[in-house]
Amino acid sequence: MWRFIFKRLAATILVVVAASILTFGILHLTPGTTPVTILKYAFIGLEEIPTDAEITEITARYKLSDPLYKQYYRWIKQAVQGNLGDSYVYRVPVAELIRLRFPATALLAALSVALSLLIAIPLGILCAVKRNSFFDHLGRISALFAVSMPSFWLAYLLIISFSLGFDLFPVAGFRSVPSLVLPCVTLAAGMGAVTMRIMRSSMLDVMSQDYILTARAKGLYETGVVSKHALKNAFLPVVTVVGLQFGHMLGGSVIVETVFAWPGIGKLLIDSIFAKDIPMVQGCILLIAMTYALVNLLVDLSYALMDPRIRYGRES
Amino acid sequence: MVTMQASSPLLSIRALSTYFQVKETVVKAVDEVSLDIYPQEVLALVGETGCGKSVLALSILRLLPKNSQSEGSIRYKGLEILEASEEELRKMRGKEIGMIPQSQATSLNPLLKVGWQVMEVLQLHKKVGKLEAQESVVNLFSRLQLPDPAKRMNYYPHQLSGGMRQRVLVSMGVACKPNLILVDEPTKGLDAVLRKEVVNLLGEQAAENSSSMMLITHDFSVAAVLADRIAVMYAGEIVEMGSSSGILAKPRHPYTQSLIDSLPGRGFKPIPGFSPSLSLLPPGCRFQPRCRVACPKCASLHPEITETGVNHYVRCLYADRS
Amino acid sequence: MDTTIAVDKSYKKGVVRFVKQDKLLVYSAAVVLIIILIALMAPLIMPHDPTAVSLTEKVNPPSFQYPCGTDPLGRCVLSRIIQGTRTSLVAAAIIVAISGTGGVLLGLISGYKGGLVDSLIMRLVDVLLAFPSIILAMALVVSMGPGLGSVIIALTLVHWTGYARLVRAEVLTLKQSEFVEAARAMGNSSVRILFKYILPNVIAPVIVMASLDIAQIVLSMASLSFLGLGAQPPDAEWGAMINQGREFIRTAPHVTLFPGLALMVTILAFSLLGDSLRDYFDPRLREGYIE
Repeated sequence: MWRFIFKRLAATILVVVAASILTFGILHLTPGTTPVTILKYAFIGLEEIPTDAEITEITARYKLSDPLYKQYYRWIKQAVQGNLGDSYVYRVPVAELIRLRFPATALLAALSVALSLLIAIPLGILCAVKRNSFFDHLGRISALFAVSMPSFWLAYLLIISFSLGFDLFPVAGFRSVPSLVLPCVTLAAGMGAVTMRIMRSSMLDVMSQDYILTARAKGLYETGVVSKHALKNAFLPVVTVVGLQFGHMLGGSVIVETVFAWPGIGKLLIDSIFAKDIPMVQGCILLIAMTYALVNLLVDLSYALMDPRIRYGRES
Repeated sequence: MVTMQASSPLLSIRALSTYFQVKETVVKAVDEVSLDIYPQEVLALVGETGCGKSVLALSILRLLPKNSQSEGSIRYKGLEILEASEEELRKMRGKEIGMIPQSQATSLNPLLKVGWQVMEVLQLHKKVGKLEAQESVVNLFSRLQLPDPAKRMNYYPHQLSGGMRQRVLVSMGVACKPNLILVDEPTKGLDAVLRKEVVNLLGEQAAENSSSMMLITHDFSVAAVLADRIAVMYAGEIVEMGSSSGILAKPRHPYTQSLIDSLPGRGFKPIPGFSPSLSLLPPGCRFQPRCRVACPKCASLHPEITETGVNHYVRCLYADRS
Repeated sequence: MDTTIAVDKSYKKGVVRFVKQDKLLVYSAAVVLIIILIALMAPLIMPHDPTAVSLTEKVNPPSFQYPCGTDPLGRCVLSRIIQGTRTSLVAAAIIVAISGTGGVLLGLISGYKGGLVDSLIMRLVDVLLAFPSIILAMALVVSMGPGLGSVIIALTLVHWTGYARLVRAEVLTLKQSEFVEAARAMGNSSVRILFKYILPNVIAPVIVMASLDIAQIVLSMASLSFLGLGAQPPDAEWGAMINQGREFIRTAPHVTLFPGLALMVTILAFSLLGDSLRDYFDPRLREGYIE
């Protein structure tokens, strides 16, 4: 077990380091980070033509003439110590801003995951157990629509029907509990639909396994067959998918935060992209990649906790 | 193992047919099967894969998927199984009729300890406490010659070898000392040495608990060791049934003859062709396309099963000739 | 029940039986075909010029003249949706063609060669999959500047990984199979074995994946355009159109609703096609089998 944890941990760290190199490379090998663009976007204005003196100053201040690997080394060395550099636009440390904005995104994500699981898991089990019933068909069709619905469009549908039509929930901002409802529902819908479909098909797959027949042949009640023998097995693939879905949700939060003017990391990222605030973009993307890697690590570990075939190897 | 044909049967199957609905077609996997199992008797059901023998066993326990339907009659100790309530069936499964499923590799729940899986059936039917159940399982395991039984209880299926898993399944099937044990391909996926051991264990268990046993196998040599009587199935039908010694000494149906001739010790001759798909049966006798002695009449007339000797039944137009 | 229960009763011939058994496949394929036809014939069926600005007819509700109303610049929403179909499908086709071909080739090489090449390709895949795909696409779009071209390049660079993984896994199993062993024993070259023997066997899952992928790409593209990173004005693109309608949801919801509907129908059709193709290709699901 410890060997397994150690191996997964090492792999996670490697992936995060590689991801940071990739992010840095993408953002620095391009015209987006020349002294002129930085000057135009963050300091003097788009219409101005920078003077040679200004260019020299910016190049010197951010050490832009250094070779790329040196710049990366400097950045990652500081990043490990919690310093992600200064924002071009806000002129404050990137880490500071991220710290301010992160709780809003974490709250939104946690609530959405909880909401989606709370609905998707029982629904998926019920659909599988009552296979081909009216309920099953209804559940599958709803899930199909929820999966195919772009989150930003769903957000507007919700706004049109609930905020404008009935004036129930605030349209935008992060002020009170009701303001959480629409963003959470928007984010949870897609994720919940995918989880429900996986839960259903995994449950169906498990129910056709030989060991379920064995359990029935023992004379167990059907509820016992489902709860003691089927559920745990059926959860295994769901855990993996929930981990992957979490990544989709981190991406989706950019859109949802934009629509609902939610003051989180996603909104910060997209604003920084338009402002060409490269240190900020870099910091946000690194944070997202790290969160995603961490979630996947947790998923792998909980998988091992659930499955003895991973926890203990084959007896030699 | 004495044949007690005089007493009344423990299980009595009459004209049992089991259908499956697959998309818009209906397939008949078991076709008008009638047979009896008497107390303390071992009946072997022999046939190639897909002939319907496993479906027959699952029909007895009513454990077939929802797209199936059984007709006819299965009487167990006065209970008509095909009309029994779900609760009656549940009480019967595991306690009255035990099953030892095929494929040891997939029939145990991979996430549960094997000891727990055997204890479950005891606690369900015998109303015993946890400790008592634990003790019984250790006893069962040691009777089945599982090394270090107390320790094995806490193992997960993947930590055991195939032979050990097969023993766990056997212990599960016999735990409540059922009157009838359905054993489905007990030697599947085991090597020759283990096969012999498992066969011996099965014989011992049945004798010890004075249970009857329905042994499902494709392997005539397993049937020869254990069975009092043998029923041979082909394409959903019983084609020959009689005492073990009688069938082995003088098989009357050409299919039975071919099966015996295909045994390693008896010529090792493979049967030409394949068993037919249940959805596309040949006209007339179902074995006729592969039969050595078939004649034109066989392709047009479907033979009925007839008694050719004392308690010996054969489904062949030329049962007397061969 | 009659013992002669007709096995042949439902044995209807050809198309009728196919349509009946694979209803979902036929219907979703039909909708996909219609969407493709709309994209192909866009200029012929548009009621108005999708870029014709009319300052007197801003955000008009749906009418006989403008079936889906007009947008904040007075342009015909229906015409822009039709033009948007073309934009989305052409871009998605380019992305799937390039990333699919690239991914399949890399997967073939990775699975067949093994060793260092395999490790390198698969580690690259791991790193790309360390990001939520839309975030990675965003980073790429930032570096290339917003625009449809950037989005196409970004999504191509992101989407090949799925094909590479899929094909590699298939190749690893096929490599062991008897017919490949036989082909090798007959002295076929590696390249010939890969393209003549292995490739035809991985085509079916790749097609399924491509269909599901198109749905995903159309969605990602619309998302990026919605955020302002994709198609730039005056190009007609569904995500961008929804974005332009944002400020008018109170007074003119049709500007947002109709492009979203087009987007959803397209995504739904391609996902359903992919799902039912998978069922069709997977014989285990096709013939429910006994024992």
